[in-house]
Amino acid sequence: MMDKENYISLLTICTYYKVEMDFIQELNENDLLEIAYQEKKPYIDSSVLVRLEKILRLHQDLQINLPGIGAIFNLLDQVDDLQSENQALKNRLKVYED
Amino acid sequence: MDFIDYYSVLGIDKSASEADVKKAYRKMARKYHPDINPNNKEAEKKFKEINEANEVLSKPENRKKYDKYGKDWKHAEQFEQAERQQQSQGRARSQSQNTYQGGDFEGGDFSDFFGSMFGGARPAGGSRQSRFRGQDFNAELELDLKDVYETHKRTLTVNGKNIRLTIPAGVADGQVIKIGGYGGQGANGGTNGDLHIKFSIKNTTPFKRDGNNLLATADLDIYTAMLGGDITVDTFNGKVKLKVAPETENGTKVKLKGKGFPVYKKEGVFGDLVITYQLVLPKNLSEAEKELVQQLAKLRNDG
Repeated sequence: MMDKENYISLLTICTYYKVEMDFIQELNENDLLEIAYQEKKPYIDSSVLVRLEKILRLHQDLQINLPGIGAIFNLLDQVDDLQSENQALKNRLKVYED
Repeated sequence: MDFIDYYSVLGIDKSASEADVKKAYRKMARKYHPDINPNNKEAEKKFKEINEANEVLSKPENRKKYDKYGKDWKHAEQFEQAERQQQSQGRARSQSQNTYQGGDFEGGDFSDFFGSMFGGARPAGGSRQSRFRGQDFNAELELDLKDVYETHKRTLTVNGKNIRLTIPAGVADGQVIKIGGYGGQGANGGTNGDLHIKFSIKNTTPFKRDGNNLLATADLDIYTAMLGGDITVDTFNGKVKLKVAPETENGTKVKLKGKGFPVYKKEGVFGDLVITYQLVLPKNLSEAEKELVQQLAKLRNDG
């Protein structure tokens, strides 16, 4: 069960971002976004809006299809891990700097 | 303010067709788009540049104006006005030009060069998504290692808004903390964005930080090293007395438990301070000292 404060109806989302309901369904099918249902009405959690906006930019600005966006997200997760690891290593290396 | 060669920004030549411009822009946008270059300021800058170049070269009227005046852009406005006046002879005096307000293009402001030639026009490509949820803001905060030894409060000004922040002790260099709701305002009831603060921590202390531990060296005279004794060493927040064992070798490490750096978000928990002894040999020996050392050496060699 979702926290009522944090969910937004799919209809609101589609109206605001000018996207078809089918498109959001497709995101759901591609595991890019999770749709939740309450009393059979579809909602998405507001915490995934950042992700949704990123998906829309990648799709609309760069014409990347949904499987491509999935691949990009996986790579971005790896970049994130590597950047954190790199920062931690840099901090450790400072021990050897004068 | 310098002239910007928009053709070279997109890597095309002046004869490029509209399709070529589009293609070049797409190719570069794929490379430098901020969504696929996290934490890359260089890519962000480049993305702004290519957007600006695209704004000029993809629109026939902008491109025409840019091509016509090129490096003489500074006078473009006067030229245009003179032309208009010639064309509208006999009519009323030329009306003052409407100037656009600076647009708030999400990819950042356009250059002064763009502004002076085209006004602060907003890109009309429609590619930018208006936001339901407010934009996330990124800020960098520079602190000294001494500042993050203790939890403290600080007031930051981000986009004209004052934010009172509690900075927990033990924040690491490069660490990012997220402050929910302090980003851009959401539209139509959408939530506000978040504020991401990246800490850049400078260390001006004699201590080196290794995670939660602190490392330092302490000078040790050879007599104390040989015979043992008490010395006083600096810790991050004061001095402590240490017992040196007899016959301590150069480079010996001692660990002072709990005298290191505070552990992030674990109140009262500290790392260790690791002291490395550095033996200091006496210099400028007097004759008497030399004699005594020679005696010592003799004793050692002859058994």
